[in-house]
Amino acid sequence: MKKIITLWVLVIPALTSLCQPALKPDKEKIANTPAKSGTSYEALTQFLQVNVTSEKGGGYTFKSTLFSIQKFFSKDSLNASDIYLAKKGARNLELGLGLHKGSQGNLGLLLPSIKYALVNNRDKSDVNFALEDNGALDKDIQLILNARHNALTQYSNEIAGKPAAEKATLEKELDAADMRFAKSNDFKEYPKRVLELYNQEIKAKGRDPEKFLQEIQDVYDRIAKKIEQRGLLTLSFNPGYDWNTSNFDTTTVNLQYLKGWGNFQKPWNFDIKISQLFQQDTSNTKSLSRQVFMGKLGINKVLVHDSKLNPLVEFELAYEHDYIFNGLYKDEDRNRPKMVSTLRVHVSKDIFIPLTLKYDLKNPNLFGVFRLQWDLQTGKK
Amino acid sequence: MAKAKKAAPKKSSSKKMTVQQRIAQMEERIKMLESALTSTAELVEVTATITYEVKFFGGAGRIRFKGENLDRAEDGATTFNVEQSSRKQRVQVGGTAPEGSNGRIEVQVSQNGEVISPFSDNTFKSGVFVDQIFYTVK
Repeated sequence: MKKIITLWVLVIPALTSLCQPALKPDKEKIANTPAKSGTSYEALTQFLQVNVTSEKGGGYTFKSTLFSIQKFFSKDSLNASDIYLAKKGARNLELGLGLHKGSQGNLGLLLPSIKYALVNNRDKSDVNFALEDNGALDKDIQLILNARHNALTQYSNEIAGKPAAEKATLEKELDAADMRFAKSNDFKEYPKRVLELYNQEIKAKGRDPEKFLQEIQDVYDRIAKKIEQRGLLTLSFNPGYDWNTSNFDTTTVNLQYLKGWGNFQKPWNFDIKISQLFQQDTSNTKSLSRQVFMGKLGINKVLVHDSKLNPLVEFELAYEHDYIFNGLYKDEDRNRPKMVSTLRVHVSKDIFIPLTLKYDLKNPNLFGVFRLQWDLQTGKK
Repeated sequence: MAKAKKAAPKKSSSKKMTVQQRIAQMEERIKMLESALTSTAELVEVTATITYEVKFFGGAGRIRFKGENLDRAEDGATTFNVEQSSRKQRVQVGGTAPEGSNGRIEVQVSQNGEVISPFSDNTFKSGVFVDQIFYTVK
């Protein structure tokens, strides 16, 4: 146990110092949604996920939702929101295929997987953000649109009353500002008078015109993070097949529940998982009817995030307990309690590296697992 | 006697005017009429029916529109009409684009079947967006 603590004490500060918050853009522009935490990605992929694992029995896994596979063949037509929202079942059904090392150490273990999200309240694409938080975001957007419209309308009316020559000049200036706005999406491209009128209206509502756009983005990010804290319950089935011995190998059934709480900027997540393993003794072609129950209770915490609330470093500590129902080997303990710690480092929005350390509590032994996980998503943002 | 002294009707002043003066007076009246006609035309603005086509991709979202005779919110694909004046229009738009992969909201504006602001100019992708749509009503 001491080894684990020592290792994390060394690793966490080193990684946090590398992950400095991103610089705030000075351009008046609203940014993107923060990325999901790694636990959510591992629980259910959104588009296509690739895993590379180094552990004993490690290998490669490709996962995708049924919807993503359908969309791949139908291009964009399935993405029309009416169809997209109606196909929630296909979006919640994840299919995977893994090629892993068998007991003899060579890549020959085929691990197909099927997973279904029985409850998925953390899919942001199902949520109309404008209606969340009692329509807070919608009210702010309405205020900004009204202020811009009123400022431009009043300014146009003021121009209309000017002498013909001056009117023509000011109209030209306004058209030029439109062109600049179309490129930059920055309302500050408009003449000073327009900005004066706009600022007056925003201030009259008790808001700061300089900070208003950022405040809208903050509300959006807060809603996104709150959605990510909602419940996710998945049921999965992974039948294993050993290509080399032409036998079925370890088959597992898993039920996993994730639920977040606490500060939305650095949230906590409960990670509860129960699994039933049906193991095949590969040294014997006959089934041993070995059955192992595995329970895991973990707590995950985002330690570091950037200025856009994208998680950079997450840490999970879990208690894992295996109980062997059938097929106990000679001198083997029926109970196998373990402490598991996982550090997830987000290299980018879609790529992260989970580094897992397991500690056997009964027979003190530390072993580590290194994995690279890459979530391939189409370039929405 | 008094009756006899009844004032003779005044001769029309036009009779005293020279031809040039009469022409000048006529020109003045024509100018006044022209001016009156122009201001009347300015008061009666010409309006046209403008069609908005809205498409949503990648899940749930909302778009709001604020412009001349236009103040509405849409939560899904739709088509609607609005009456607007024949001049340059600046329509303020804002909302939240769907969060699914490649999620976006697209808007196309047309007048009598002719596209005056295409989908390609009005695609809103960021999670939350505030923007403008420009077009000229004929």
